[in-house]
Amino acid sequence: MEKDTRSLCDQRNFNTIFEMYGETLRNFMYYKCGDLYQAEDLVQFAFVKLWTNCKKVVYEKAKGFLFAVAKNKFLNEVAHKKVVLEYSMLPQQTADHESPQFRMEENEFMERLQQAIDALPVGQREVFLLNRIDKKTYVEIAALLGVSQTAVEKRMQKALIKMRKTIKNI
Amino acid sequence: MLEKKNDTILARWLSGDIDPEERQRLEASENYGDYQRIVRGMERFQKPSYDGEALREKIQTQIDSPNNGRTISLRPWYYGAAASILLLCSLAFFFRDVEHSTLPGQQLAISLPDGSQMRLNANTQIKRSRFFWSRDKKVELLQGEAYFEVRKGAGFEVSTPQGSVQVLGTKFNVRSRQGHFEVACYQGKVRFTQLGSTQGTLLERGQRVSGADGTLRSGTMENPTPPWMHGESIFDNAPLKVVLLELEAQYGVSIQTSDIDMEERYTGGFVHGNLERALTTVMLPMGIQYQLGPGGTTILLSPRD
Repeated sequence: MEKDTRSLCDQRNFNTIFEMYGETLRNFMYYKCGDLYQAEDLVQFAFVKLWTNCKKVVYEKAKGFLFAVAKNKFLNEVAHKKVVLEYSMLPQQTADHESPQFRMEENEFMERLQQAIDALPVGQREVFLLNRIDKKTYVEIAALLGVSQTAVEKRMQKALIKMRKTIKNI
Repeated sequence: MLEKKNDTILARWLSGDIDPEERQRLEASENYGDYQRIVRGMERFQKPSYDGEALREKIQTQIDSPNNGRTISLRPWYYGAAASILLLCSLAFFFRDVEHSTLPGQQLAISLPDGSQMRLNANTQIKRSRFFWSRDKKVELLQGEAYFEVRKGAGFEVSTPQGSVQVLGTKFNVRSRQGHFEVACYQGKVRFTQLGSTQGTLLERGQRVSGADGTLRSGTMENPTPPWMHGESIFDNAPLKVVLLELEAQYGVSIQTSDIDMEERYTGGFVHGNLERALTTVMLPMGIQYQLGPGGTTILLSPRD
């Protein structure tokens, strides 16, 4: 098995890693803390740490390193704010039976979804949003978080169940 | 042999990793409809806006800054020159505004960093300052229409090509399309100052002001929120030109006119989601006949004989 001997101290390789994981890491931290600035700061911190340790980190381990560093830094920081996502307002229907009332109810449902997302425990929320919003597969998420695929699926299921219960009670 | 368990069945349903008999069981279960609704709702969420370039520059700045602690030795001299150019560029990126825009027929709900909310109507372009510090809450409505719910009023300002709106209260709507504008206050107070003027117009709940070319006309509204958020566009003595712009924005069509007075006033409205009905409600009272072009995306208007 050939080992990838690319060096992260080479700026091009470093930038490639940024292109591949920058956005996902940023979103992952945002889903944890609900603050875009804080999420960006954490991403910055992680990448700078990667650069200063570029001689010690093997190329294939860069992804795991970044996520671990960002997660640990976050653990030392203040409690999270609310995660808020943009949503498109209900697309135009051509059928007449879709009344303004229906559209208003559907948009209100989106607000309840937001609240339910915020009510999720952070471990469930990050898996749920990485899958639903960033479209990452369970395999990919497992690799990013350093857990098994089954562990990801279990968290996903708990998230769905909790979302349903929260919405029912709003 | 891997045994698929019940505690991952919902997750595997979403990823398609589910046996036919498991699927049948799930679809027959009591809460299946709720889960479907959740999944459908989640489809409408967008990824948070991401400016990769700016972030990369910030990282680069920090890497190259002399206060960073460790310097990495054995770098060739030309890295230093490249780094200082990058530093200058990164400052510009650092303060760059964030842009949002909608396509015809599309509406977006966006949260701002200070907790305020804005909703964009179709075919709208808006710019805002990146960080929204207390004194720097600037939103620029380049063209289109947006509704704002402002959490903390101080310092929040929306500028348009016709003038600016200072927020003293909480809920208001701003429209600016091709020189025609309207500002409507739905809660609290806002002050609209026309471009080139120092005198502002104070609007309270239920009041609005509209105009073009420097003229100002005041009016009122009774709805608690703008009609465009509920599937209709409503006009009160608006020039036909503005009505046609809104038709184009909602339906993504292109309207051509022949021998039609664009300044003629229209009072009424049209629904979103049904082009034929929308055209009838606008054109009939105005004595205009319409013809749909091939492909259904062009409309030709001419006077009714």
